[in-house]
Amino acid sequence: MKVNADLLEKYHCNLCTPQECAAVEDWLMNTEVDELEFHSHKDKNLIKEAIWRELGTLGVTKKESQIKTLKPASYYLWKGAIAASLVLVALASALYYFGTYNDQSVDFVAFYNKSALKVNHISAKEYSLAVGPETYAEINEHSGVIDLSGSMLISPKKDIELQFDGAENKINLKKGQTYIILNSKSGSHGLIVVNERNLISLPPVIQRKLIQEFGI
Amino acid sequence: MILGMGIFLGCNSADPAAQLKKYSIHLLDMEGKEYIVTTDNLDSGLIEPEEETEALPDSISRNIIVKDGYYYSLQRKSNILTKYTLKNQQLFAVAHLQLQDFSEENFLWIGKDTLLLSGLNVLSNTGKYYLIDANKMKILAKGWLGIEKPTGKFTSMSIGFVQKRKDTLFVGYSFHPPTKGGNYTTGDTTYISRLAYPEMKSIGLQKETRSTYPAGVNNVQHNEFTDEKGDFYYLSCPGIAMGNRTDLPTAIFRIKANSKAVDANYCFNLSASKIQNHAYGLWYLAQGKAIVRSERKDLFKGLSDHYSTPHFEFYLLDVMNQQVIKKLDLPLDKGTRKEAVLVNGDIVYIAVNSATEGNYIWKYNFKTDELSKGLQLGGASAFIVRLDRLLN
Repeated sequence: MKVNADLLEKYHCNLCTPQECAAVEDWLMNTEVDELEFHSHKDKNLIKEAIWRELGTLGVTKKESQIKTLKPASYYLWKGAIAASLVLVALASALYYFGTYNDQSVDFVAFYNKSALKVNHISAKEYSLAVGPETYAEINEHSGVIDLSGSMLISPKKDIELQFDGAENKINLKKGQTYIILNSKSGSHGLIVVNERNLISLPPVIQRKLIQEFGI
Repeated sequence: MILGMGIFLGCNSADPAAQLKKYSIHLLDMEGKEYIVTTDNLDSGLIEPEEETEALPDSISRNIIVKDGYYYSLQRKSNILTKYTLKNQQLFAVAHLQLQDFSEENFLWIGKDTLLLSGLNVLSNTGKYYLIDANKMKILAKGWLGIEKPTGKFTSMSIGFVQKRKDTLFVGYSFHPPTKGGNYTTGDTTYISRLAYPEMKSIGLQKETRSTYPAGVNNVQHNEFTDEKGDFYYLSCPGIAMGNRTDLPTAIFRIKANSKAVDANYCFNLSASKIQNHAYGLWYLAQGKAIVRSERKDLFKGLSDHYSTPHFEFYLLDVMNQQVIKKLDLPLDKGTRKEAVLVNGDIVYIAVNSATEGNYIWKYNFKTDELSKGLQLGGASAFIVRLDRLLN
């Protein structure tokens, strides 16, 4: 079962079936909860405590060893963004997209912006991300390799290194810069990483699409 | 006394051009930071940009117009056209002009101080223009260009060239379907509209299907020229870096001086010549000779390494007789689109970024066929993206 914003919301409202509860708890036990970013530190602690309290009533105890992991750092970077996007989506759904937010739902360590026009904005601890229309991204939890199809704008809050599927070398992104990352396996080009200020290096047709989509 | 002070002040505010150097070089470093350095001498020496100047602010990029001691740059986000001069080796803004909903595609000086900017609205589906007094930085005229709009499966367009003949403008352009899943491409037709100048109303339309994507954004790279006889030539650019209709040829077309249409009897097909590749960048020397910068499809994998892999070659062409004269004996160059060639009499300066031989301005005498290394760009220099004449 896929855990998404819808299900998380149901879980917090105690509306889940036992099967759904198990899926959410499994998800929670298998992730680095600390990677989730909340709107404030207080929110984060409150939600963490609430989750552990509920798990405690089910007889589940927090095991430090399960939090420690050898998965690649970029996996958690990514997952942090996904988790953050779930929180954003849950909030947005309550405020704006009630009844339609299924379109905005985000899969486990993957996201898919199905909109042909809208850009999804995600803010994580490590970076801000704007996900272009019709963009799909998934991270392989063993290798940390990101499978991207579409376009995104990323502004790291510290220097980071990402590995994309189909690219030989890791991509180094510098703190404070904004990068455009494009990938298409079936299309006319492979993985392209370009600093936003060098947008002009791209073919004019792609430049204009990015300018329109991201408002850059 | 007051008169005397006036004269004194007048002398003191000397023409800024008096302190300027003859040539302007625009560079990129490995992190994509940009620099402008100037020199009087392209024949020898070494310039390290970070030793001479600060990196440009992100608002200024290499799609800049350089003329008579000034630089003109349209800031994409604000739509403000700024005129700069150089003070202490840094760009210094002297005037601003607010434009609206405008994406620049082509510039043309139609007088000493009169600049015609042609482009598109931000949705890239309608042609627009601004006629500017560059001295006073005032808008003389603005409005829509009377050219076709994308219809049917096409949703956007590119204007590749704008050429003026007395009271007529020739505007060359092509259309694009929506970009989906990374597939960008161009329709198979080049459109050439004739517009009455200065009304910008259509007085004729030609459809040319021998190739597509005529010329390109000419403040990044020139793909067109007018020869001594007034014949206008342009390069079609259907290669991966521009039109992405690689099934169609990169070819040179012309509109003869007294003609109203693209010459049906002339098509210098470079892709079918011994060059056997697509090309971007065409510069005129003299007496029917030109230089083209062509890619090597056997050396790059795709668009992702098109700019970083050294694979560009320079060929000397006889455009009049449709002959490839020779490949210039230069190291392979990198960087997808660059204003890499500057002609000064019999000498052609060619900026080459070689992985093995470093970054140099090469000097080619096309009368004597002598080729040698000139000015070296060292330090942080990674790409020489523009070579301009700052002063005439």
